[in-house]
Amino acid sequence: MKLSEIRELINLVDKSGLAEFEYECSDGDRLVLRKSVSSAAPEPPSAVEPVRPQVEVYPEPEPSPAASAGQDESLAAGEFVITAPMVGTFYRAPAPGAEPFVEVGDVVEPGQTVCIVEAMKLMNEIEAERRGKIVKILVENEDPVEYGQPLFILKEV
Amino acid sequence: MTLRKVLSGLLKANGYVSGGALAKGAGVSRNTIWKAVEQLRADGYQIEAAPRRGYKLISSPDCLRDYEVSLHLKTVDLGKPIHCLDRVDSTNQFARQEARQGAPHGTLVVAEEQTAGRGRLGRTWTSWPGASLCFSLVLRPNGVAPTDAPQLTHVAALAVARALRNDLGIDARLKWPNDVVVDGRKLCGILVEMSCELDLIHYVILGIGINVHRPSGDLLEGGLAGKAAVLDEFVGAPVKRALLLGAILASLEQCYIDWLNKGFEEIRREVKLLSSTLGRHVEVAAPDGPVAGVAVDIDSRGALVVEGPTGEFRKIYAGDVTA
Repeated sequence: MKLSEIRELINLVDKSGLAEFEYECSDGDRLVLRKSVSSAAPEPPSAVEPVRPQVEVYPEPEPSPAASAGQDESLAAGEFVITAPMVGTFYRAPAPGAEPFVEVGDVVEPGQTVCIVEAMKLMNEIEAERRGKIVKILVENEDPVEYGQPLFILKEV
Repeated sequence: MTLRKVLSGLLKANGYVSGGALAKGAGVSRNTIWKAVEQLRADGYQIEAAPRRGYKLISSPDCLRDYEVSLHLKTVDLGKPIHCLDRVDSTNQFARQEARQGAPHGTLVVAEEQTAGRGRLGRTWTSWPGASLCFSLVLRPNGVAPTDAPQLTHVAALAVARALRNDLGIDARLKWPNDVVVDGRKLCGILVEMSCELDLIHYVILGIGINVHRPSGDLLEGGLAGKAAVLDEFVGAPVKRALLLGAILASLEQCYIDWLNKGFEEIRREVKLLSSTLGRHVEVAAPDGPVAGVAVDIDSRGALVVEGPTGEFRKIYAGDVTA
């Protein structure tokens, strides 16, 4: 077979709905053309690369034990939690080495800052919404936290 | 208000303008004009007066007084109202107090000098009286979930970079997530602070500090002031800070409205184009340990995606990045 003939065959098969094409020449040469399409319905040929929606797939590491620890906490009567309003990093103090905002046993007032959650240099000062006594601090300083993750357990006073 | 109108009249005249015309334009008496001109002169404006011709503005000082700042505002919301202060502990702190008392979206706090300028996590931000541009805005992004608020860091950094590129023609780029750099040198720092509930943002304080002029005198000795990148030197001429502020606020309002209306995707695309971090080997001092690898993407939430040596991906939400 001539190269030009093969080329023409490829074109024909390409534009057809055939997934596979076998051709035996009179001189015994055999030509097999197979298209690598998975679906039965061939897509129309196009000169332009179709624009695919950009899908980001970045496998994320397993959540650390700290990230799930809080969810299992059960609350006693009169206890309530303060949760993280966004993904980020938990800080107990306004600056490294500074006094923590709160300690276990402290009574916090509504509007009082209890910690910072940072994401992309946005510093989110988390305030207590209700008056309460800090019973337990569920995450360590500089731990990553998830949206909705409990950070503190407080008890009504 | 009178000072602003008189100044505006002098600027528009682009030459001599009579006291009578100024008085008519400002809706005040000629005596008030005379007083306003004296006040402007005391504030550093060079104004020539000639018999029968009137007044002519020769030069303006590089000041951040409210009448000068408001003259350059091209915004609808941002910069209304304005608090221009000679000295303040920190513009973010002042803005936060204003926000707590109900200050509206767009409230602007500008200070000539910050005595306790703050960076992230209690780090100090040194401002140079007369040489830097430091301001904070109260933003109230209605309908935005707190979990999307960190994107504002990118919105702000992009807005500053756009203004520097479009208005001053310098090649400003973005170092993830919040630094604006030129030739790899930091020119602008951004600090965003938020107060919110689980699903409701009370307010966001956006603080921006830019090194504009090289400070002189005592500040140069021993400190960073001699080495830090300053805007003037990239532009090749002294930059008027009130003009720069007007340009940045206009750019910021545009980016902010686009972000509210269309979401983060368009912002993200432009941030990626201007990123000086992507494609480079970076080391991140992440809170839970150091991460090293190639910065490959900024994801749909604004996090930096770093590919480690064994092909694993890490999403970085916090931490200092060195390239």
